[in-house]
Amino acid sequence: MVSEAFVTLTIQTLVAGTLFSLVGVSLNLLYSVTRLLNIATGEFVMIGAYTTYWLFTEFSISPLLSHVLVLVLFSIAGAVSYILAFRRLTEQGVSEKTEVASLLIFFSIILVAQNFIILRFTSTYQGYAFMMQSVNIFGVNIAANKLVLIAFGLLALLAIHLLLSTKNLGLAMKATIQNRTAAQLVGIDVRLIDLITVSLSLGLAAFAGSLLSMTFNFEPFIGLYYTISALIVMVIGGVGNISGTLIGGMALGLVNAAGSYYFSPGVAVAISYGIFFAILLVRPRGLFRGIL
Amino acid sequence: MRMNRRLVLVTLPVLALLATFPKLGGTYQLNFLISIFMYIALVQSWSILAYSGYISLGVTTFFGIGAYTMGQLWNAIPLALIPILGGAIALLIALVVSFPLLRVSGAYFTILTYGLTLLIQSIILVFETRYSQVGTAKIIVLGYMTDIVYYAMVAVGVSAVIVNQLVIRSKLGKALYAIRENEEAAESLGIDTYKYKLIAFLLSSLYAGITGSLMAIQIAWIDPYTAFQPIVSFQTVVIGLLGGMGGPLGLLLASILFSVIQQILWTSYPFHHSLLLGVIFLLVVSYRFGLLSSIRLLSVLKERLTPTFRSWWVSRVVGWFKGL
Repeated sequence: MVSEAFVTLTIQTLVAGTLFSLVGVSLNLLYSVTRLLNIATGEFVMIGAYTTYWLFTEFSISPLLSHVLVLVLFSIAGAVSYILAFRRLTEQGVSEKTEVASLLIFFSIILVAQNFIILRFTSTYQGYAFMMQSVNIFGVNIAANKLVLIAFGLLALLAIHLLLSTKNLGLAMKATIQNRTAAQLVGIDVRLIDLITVSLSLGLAAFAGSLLSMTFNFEPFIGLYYTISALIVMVIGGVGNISGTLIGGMALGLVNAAGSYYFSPGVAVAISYGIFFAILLVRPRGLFRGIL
Repeated sequence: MRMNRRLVLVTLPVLALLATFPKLGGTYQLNFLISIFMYIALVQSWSILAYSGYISLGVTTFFGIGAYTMGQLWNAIPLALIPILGGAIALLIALVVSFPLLRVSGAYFTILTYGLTLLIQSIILVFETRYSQVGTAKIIVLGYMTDIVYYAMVAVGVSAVIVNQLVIRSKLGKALYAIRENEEAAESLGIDTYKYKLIAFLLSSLYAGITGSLMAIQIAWIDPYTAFQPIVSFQTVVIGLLGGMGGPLGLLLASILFSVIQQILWTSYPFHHSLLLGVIFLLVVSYRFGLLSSIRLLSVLKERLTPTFRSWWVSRVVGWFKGL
């Protein structure tokens, strides 16, 4: 007989871990390919959540459909934003200056995104009820939307993993991560890779938001929490290491679930930051080395 | 020497004006100047570390520690001691966290300083919810203090400018520039990079702590959320990068420019000001990065580009005629 605590913890770990992995991959992919440090990752999550909420409450479009819609929509938005803003930054090769300039761009995006959402939806918590019926798993009642979240999230992560490990596009991305100049020399169109990366990254972040809107309530300032989680996951996994990021996301999910279950959500957050610091103290370049 | 004399000639009237300002202007103008000098103090001290290429997003951490100290102690010990104490506590915590912090570089450093703010905030939150019986917010009630805060803030801001200039001229500044160019090479030349980074980090933390303590009187409602506002870090970095990190002057101009823009937006569009500020940043960063640092470059570029421009125009005009 599986104990109740075990089932609850596993589900909570998977819920949090999937979300953290998604935002972690989003941040890590973008940073390692283009050196754009997206401190607005959480804001894209937040906007994704509000988009699905808006589609559901105004047009009664099922969130199951919205998840895909949001992914596609924000991928297109990412491609457009690359053409409008980021191309200028990455055109002359990537460097420290790209990083610093990207901080400013993303900070502006934070300001615009938060205030736009506050003006449109006010700054109070929002949420909607969707697939609230409970499913019995080993004697524990779990809301069905959590299972949907896990299934959709893991599917997306699997797709990313397959894309990066088997397809030519994935290989080209990894080559760009390893050495941009050399990748150009062997005939990889780095600008195209940049375009695809930005679009994929923003799409994934918004997709994570869309998923979480089914389960959690959200407000315009939840972004910071997901940004910092993504940063922690990236540091655990190592820059440019996408498989490590998946492990890191699940690990952070576990810490969070266990901390919330045994102590309180506040303590869980404090513990995650503590672990983050401890890892950097021992391994200043992240836990997992190399590119997988 | 002549440069110095000219500098004194400009500075002295400005300082005299600032000193008499509380007699001339109203409270609104005074508060506006306080916010300008807050940005000056934060940015000037932040840039000392930034000279070494280490971009810190952790100004809020020490600003918040200072503010929180004021919130806890304002009715317990003499008021004049608290900014000093706030600065000292910020310095102490900076010393402790510098151990993991200064071992990493590049984006890791930036990320870690950002995380530090949230770590300290969440530690205080956990501590408060566990040990505090009633509400956790502290309200600072001091009556009319704007004059005193103003003078203190001006003093801190001006001293930050002076310290920044002294650092640039000194061995410390040279070492920090060397670290920015190439940290390993600097180390191999016998520069104790850790020591200089530590001094720069401590200096910027000290100033952020003192500034936070003073601004807490203005904020007046102090809890872990109002004390630790990550936006303060971001504003500091934005101003610093706009100022070009070439020295105190560019940063000074950027601080004033930023405050003025913010104030104009705040008064004319109370509901949309942050949105507009974001849009302005976006345009500035995307299309003309390093606004103020390029002023000096502009004259050089003008000389070089004018012939090219002229020939460009000539060729366009000739081409237009040929097209007829």
